[in-house]
Amino acid sequence: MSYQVEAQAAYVLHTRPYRETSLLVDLFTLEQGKVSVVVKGARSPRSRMRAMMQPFTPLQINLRGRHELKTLLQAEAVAAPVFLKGDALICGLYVNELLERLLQPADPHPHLYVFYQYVLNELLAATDIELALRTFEQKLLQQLGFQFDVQACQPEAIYRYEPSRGFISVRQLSDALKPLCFSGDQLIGIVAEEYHRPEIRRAAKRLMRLALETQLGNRPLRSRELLQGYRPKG
Amino acid sequence: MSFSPLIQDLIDAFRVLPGVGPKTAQRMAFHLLERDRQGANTLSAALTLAADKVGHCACCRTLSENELCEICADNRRDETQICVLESPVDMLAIEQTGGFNGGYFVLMGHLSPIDGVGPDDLGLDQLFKRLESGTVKEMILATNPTVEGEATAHFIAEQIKHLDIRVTRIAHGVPVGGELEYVDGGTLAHAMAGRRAMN
Repeated sequence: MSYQVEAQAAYVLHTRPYRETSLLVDLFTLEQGKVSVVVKGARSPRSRMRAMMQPFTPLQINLRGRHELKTLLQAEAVAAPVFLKGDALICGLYVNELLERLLQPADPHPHLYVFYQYVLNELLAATDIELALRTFEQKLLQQLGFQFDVQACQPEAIYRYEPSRGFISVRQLSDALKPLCFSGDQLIGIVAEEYHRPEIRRAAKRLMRLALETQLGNRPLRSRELLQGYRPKG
Repeated sequence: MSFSPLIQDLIDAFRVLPGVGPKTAQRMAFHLLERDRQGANTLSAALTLAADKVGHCACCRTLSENELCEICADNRRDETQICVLESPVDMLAIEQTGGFNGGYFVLMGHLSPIDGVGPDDLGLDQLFKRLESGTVKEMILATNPTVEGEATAHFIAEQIKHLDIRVTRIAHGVPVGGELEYVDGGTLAHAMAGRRAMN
């Protein structure tokens, strides 16, 4: 039995060359989540697909296939591509890298799709990139089944973040523990998304990084290195 | 039926080439063995020599068997301009237009975080050293107009902000002889955004 999907909304997360003229493309789709497809002939000089198979272009696609790797039958750009510039572009690659690494194939996340559109629009507007990224990171973690439980937190107390167990109250704060610790006030503020407060922003950046690191394992995100600027090795 | 080991090895060896499958590899192997022994010897000698001797130009990183490639060694070229490209084929394409007389730097790829390609893989420290030496007045970023190419261009420009060098990016536009109707939306949007005054 052949399996076909029509008129699905999607964005390209990543492409890599396949055979002589084709592309292997990872798509983030509205209803199917992350899907890998072969786009035949996309790298031939006259292909119309070439321009479309770029990240940040909203597409409508038709797919076919029974296995994990599908074939792209048709794609159409439904709106002009989001032309990100400068640091916003690198942040866009960071968001794509997060999705590429953390989403499981064919695991639908329609809510996350909407937040992805939100973060791209915010990156394009480039008014407050940091706010958009923090919001997206928190939504991503939530969608992956990862909630920050701060109900028992007291604003004045200090808590240590333990990926497997949550927030654990700390009596004595040592220098070694500091990078892992947050005040109850900060944690409650992060969950309430009170990002207008600078100290909540800083704490959120630290917390999201810790939480994402456990999800990502020991392979660091490469796009983050790009944002930190170039430091030659050795 | 299976072929004798030497023939099978030759067929397998041809398959490293892009676009060559088992059948084509077999045809190539038999053509050389049956009809063109002389050609086979020439091919094998040329391959050995090239694989041994061709390295990267010390100045622009393009493929070259000499320490410096022909363009870098040519002292009639304008040293104050440098064009940054993704691959040696791009260099050839620009050379064929004949409209550029400066130097080059070939990255041999583009930044691609998901594939794990970072600044160290593109020889950027070598590029920055060359820029810091002070002879270069303009750097033309001619990476491909893809998202990764754009990110690479931005990253390089960002790192040399402190230097007194004019940084330019090649224009995007409608192909010569093209018709607007058939140009894709992305290119057209770029062409509109990058329009030029005529008066």
